Amino acid sequence: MRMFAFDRIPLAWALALLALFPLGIEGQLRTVVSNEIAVSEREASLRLHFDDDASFAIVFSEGRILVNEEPLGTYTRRDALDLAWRSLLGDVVALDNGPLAEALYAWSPPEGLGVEAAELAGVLDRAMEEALTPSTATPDTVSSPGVTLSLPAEGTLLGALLRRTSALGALAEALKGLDVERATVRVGEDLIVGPGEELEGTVILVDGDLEVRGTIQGDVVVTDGRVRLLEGGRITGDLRLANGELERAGGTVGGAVSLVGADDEPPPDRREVDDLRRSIEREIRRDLMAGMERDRRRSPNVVVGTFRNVGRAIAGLLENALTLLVLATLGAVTLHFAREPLDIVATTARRAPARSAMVGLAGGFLLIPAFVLGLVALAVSIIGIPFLLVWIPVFPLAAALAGLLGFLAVARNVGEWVAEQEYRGLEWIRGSNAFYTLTAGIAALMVPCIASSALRILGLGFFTGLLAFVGSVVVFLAVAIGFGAVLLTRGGRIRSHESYFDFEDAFWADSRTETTEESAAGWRSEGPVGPTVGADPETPDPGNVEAPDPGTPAPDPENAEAPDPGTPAPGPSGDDKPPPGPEEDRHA
Amino acid sequence: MTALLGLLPAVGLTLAALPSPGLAQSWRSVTMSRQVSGERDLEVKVRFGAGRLTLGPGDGSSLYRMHLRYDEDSFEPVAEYVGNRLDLGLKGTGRSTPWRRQDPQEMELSLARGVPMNLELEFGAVRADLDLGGMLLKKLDLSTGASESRVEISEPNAMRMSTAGFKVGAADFRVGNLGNLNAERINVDAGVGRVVLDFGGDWQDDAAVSVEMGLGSLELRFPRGLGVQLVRNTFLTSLDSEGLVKRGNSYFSVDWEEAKHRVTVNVDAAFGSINVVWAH
Repeated sequence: MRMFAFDRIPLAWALALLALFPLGIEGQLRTVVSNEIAVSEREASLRLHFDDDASFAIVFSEGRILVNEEPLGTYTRRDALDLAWRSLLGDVVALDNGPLAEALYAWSPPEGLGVEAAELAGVLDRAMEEALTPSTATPDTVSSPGVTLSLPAEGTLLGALLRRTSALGALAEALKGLDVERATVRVGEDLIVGPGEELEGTVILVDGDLEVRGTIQGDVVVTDGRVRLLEGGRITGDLRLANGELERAGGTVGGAVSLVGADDEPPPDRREVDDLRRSIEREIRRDLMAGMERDRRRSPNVVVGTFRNVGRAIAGLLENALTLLVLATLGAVTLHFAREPLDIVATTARRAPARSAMVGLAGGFLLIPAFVLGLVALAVSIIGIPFLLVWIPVFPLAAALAGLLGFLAVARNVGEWVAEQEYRGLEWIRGSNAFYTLTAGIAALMVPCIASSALRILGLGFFTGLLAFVGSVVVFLAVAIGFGAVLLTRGGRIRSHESYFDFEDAFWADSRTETTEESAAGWRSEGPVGPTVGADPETPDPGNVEAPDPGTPAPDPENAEAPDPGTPAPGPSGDDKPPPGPEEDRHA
Repeated sequence: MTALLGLLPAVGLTLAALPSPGLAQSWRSVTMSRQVSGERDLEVKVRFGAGRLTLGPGDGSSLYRMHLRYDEDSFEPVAEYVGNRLDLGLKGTGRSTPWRRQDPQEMELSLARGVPMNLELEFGAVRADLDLGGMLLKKLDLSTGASESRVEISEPNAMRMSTAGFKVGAADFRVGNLGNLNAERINVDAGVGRVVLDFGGDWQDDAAVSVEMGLGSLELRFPRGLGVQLVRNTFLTSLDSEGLVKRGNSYFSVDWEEAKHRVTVNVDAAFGSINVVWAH
């Protein structure tokens, strides 16, 4: 805690100067027209506006105490002075005008403050009292018997002195030993004693010039000003100059002329200025450093840029991993609880991808109109209004679940395809394990996104963006196809769509017809609708018939792996019924 | 990837709910007041974006008394009094702040009782509790976005009000004792939500009321003895016209001819329902 200007001068002198002028404590307090009390972690402030359009403010803000925007001292957050000030604000926050002024006027610094805090609190107390007291300090107005006080029009005595803190130390020194019972005080103003005029008592000028052509019966103290003793001018007592100048032009001084504060020690005001300058320099330096730091962060820097790229890449990969984990978990749940619908949707998505995609896109576009239509239909009917509570959350949820189911179904198909490729290192993906294939499918659909995240390390913005776009398109298509398949199969409940005709089936069915005509004829005799998928392991699904590679012979039924119960048959192995021929599908 | 992340609402919500000490808000409490100094005509505008708002009549000596609790990083108080115009409320600082879970901001405002004023209230996502009783209101404009607002006129307005306008976005909006407003015209423009208009209070004169509703329910509460004419211009809107008799295109209260004061309510609604309730 520190007081500006007061820490190296006898504060008592400055306060004693104020004490010279009883300012009507018992008198009427000024009318507070508006007030503002603000409290936050950083600030505790009081602002008053008076009926004569004058304002007064005490602000404790970020370690500094300001009185009418003039720095008065410093404080530390939650120190005794800060707490005392906040306590006062808390006490008066509910008051207005008269009661507020009275409460502020009646405040006195609490006991137990440290020396410096008590001094600062005392100054604040006096500042408030003076601000709240009606201004009687008009020029040439006698404030008390024997004392004439004149202030600049804009302010009060304390305010005028606070604005001239540099003069206070010298003034206190200069006033020592002088009679101030009868005094003429001018702050920030000039004084002229004209020819033939006579002024009795001590004359005190702060920040003003004195011109003497008449007689001053007493001592004269001038700080930060100039004394001109002109022809006929006479000072009967001492003349004390603090940071002042004397110009003799025919006038006389009966007593001694002395300069105050002219010793070796730098005057307090200079040190104060130095402190302030250093403080401002520190602040400017801090701001500059902060600005440079900001610029440094913004400027291209190879090292920083590399770390940033690595960070982004890691964040992206973690995002991918989290997404994969969640989707795989949802896939496992779906396999456990809704395996049959998933199989049906997957089969439909594989056998009729174009139709599914078109239906999915159309369904997606119709989602919002359908939702609104349902909303309106329920809203207009009195009976339906309660169902709005169900409709509003359930419809979007159902649409999201349909999209998820469709995406997982497509992912399962992709996973099966990956399993069939028998890539090195991916042997763990077995067609017989539905969870593995599903997870592999999800990962395969996310490959562009994962690659995009990984490429961020290199900072290849274009390729990263391109891969992200490709990844988005892949995911969008997967969701569209899957969603369409869900709609076509009514959520995986209708199996007829499993036998949709497609070109590949027709082609390979034709080629197989030539070699297995008898078997095909046997299958055709069973009708257009395929057997249950996954429901009966003994009756493999023709929809899951694998189209053999044209370059490779058909697999040997004898060496085929037994189908996993409850899962669709991975291929024609063990299947005694060939896939539907083109003619049957056309009939269907 | 964004679409996939959309599948993770639970994860997102969980992460969002985690406390982030680094993003602590900087709350500031401000109390402001101003004394009445012979004002005879006042234009008052109150703006409040989000939070909780309480507004009511003050004592006779204060022109206004406002207490605000807000995030000083994002907002700053407004209390400007120039000429006969008084602007109060909170405005954004323009500094972008990260989204964070936060306590609601608060505003408590009391306005002078004895000063005639045109009052304009503008709220965003606000939970508002307003009591306009006892004020001298010449005109009232209230507009609110997505809010839950309760407006009560607990005491009669001693001045005849030209127009009272309520513009409501998506809201649960209730007005009590509209009769105390002493208004010639009352306009209610509501978007989506639930609107309850209570026509109780001390009716000094007749009034014309216009209600425009989008999607939602409108409840009209009338006191016994008040003459009511309901003119309906609706589309796909149900009407429960309890206690009203249809004549031509309008619905009338049974004591319309004998009623001391009459209110004509024009309802223009699109989708929803209109319920008429009679207070006992």
